[in-house]
Amino acid sequence: MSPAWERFRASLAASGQLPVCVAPLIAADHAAFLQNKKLRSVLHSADELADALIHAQSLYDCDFMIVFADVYVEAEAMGCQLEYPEDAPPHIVRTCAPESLRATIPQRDGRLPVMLAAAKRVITELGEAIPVFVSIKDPFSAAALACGAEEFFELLISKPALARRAIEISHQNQLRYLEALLEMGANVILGAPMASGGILGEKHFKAFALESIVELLSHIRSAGRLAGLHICGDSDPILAELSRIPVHFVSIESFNVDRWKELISDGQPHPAVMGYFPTDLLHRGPVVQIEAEVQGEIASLWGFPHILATACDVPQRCPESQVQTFMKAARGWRPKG
Amino acid sequence: MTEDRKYTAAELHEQLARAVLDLDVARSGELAQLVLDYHYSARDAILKGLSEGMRRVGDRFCSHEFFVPEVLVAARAMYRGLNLLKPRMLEEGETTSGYRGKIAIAVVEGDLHDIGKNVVKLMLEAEGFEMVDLGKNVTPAIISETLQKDNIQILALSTLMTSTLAAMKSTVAAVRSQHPQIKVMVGGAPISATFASEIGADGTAGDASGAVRLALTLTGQS
Repeated sequence: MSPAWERFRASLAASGQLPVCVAPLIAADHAAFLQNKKLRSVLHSADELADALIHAQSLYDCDFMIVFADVYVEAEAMGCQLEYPEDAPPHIVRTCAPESLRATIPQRDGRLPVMLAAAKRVITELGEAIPVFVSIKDPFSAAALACGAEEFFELLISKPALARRAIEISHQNQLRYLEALLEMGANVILGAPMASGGILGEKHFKAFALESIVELLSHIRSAGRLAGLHICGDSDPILAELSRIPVHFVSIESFNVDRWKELISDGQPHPAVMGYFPTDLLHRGPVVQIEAEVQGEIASLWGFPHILATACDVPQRCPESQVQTFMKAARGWRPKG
Repeated sequence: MTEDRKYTAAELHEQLARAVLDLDVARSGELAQLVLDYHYSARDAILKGLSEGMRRVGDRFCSHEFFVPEVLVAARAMYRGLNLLKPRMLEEGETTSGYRGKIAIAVVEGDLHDIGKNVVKLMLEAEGFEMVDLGKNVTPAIISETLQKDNIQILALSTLMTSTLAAMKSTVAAVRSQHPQIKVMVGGAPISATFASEIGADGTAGDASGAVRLALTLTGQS
């Protein structure tokens, strides 16, 4: 087993092995920045995307990597229209009506074929050396992004049946996308930018997002692959749900660490936790503060299943030296005494 | 006329507030129509009914009983009533907008995420501030132009992304140098109190209710 895989497995098991597993989440935007490539071009080319991510890995030597372009890949395939600035992430210029979301075929629609081909190359070239996770959206988030977030959130209360139909279409799409990824041997992380506890609260999360998340995660695991879940925003309103979810790890942007430790201290199986290193600090912070935060975070979860990771993707124009500081501080960490 | 009235003005105000809190869009419209039919003050119905309802929604948002979907539907209920009552209020030569002051709100240049900005705008509007919504991806030049011509007390800036924190910093710097009398509040997922202070903002808040409290404090009304 490679050192990265060893550290990853050890962190999931909280075996106390050093150094700890460390995962700054590098997406297409920062990877393109590191290569001085225009993001728009990288987002439309499987080879350029794979090259950029592989290049970033060669610089940082992380223990974990994601294949991730931007949040709108599935939403675009379902019919919403994006605008691509030359060197910034895309944004929506026309949303879809919930009734008109398209059933997608991953080998054909939007940039899904680009993602499949990029994932295949990264897995082929680096999958043995390092855990590679392909990032896809949870069905709720994909539907909300395609339909326009605010309009979709209102539907949860004003027309819940219509919201459910849109989520079901999205769910079936994500099952087909997932199947294509599993066939190539991918491990998968579900990203949930809209199914956030801080946005939805526990009631709507459980009513509209949780079931399809659990079904997709179970599908990944039943195929013998590793499964992760990334939740954006404040997760405290749904922390109990996340602690019980059938997944190898949950990547969380913001949560109460002490409460998490309480929730997983009942002797039952629980996922490992990763994330919550502030990306603003990584981007702009002085070296001493980055080092102190890394040390504090590892120490606070030492003895628990934990992967040190950024709360969200590394900011596009974060200087390389900042990420190197983060990696070095993590590699050098040792428990006191 | 009076004997035909089923509710007193105070009762209608309370029911309007409850309709907003209950996220009952249709009921809000029905009650607003009753205000018109009974010839009660439209301004009072807005301030003591609809705005009071949004204030209660803000309290529930703050205590995590309500989340973004509830706030959006409550706002729809508020606007259903407001759109009926506003023409009558204007006929009466009254206004509610801006009795607390005037705030310009924008998402900084480079950022197209505006859910947070929209929720904060709704809550500030319900509190009685007149809002000048500049939208998303707004350049410092447009902000400066607005501050120059409108009688604005506060600029509220939002961003969701870390990549646009630099744009927020330069916008605040531009406003500070050109419009030193304007108070600046900043908010959004990546904003910390330390960052707000470092860039020279007058304050930040973690959520929409906090933003209302901050705006009241900055205008000396807390």
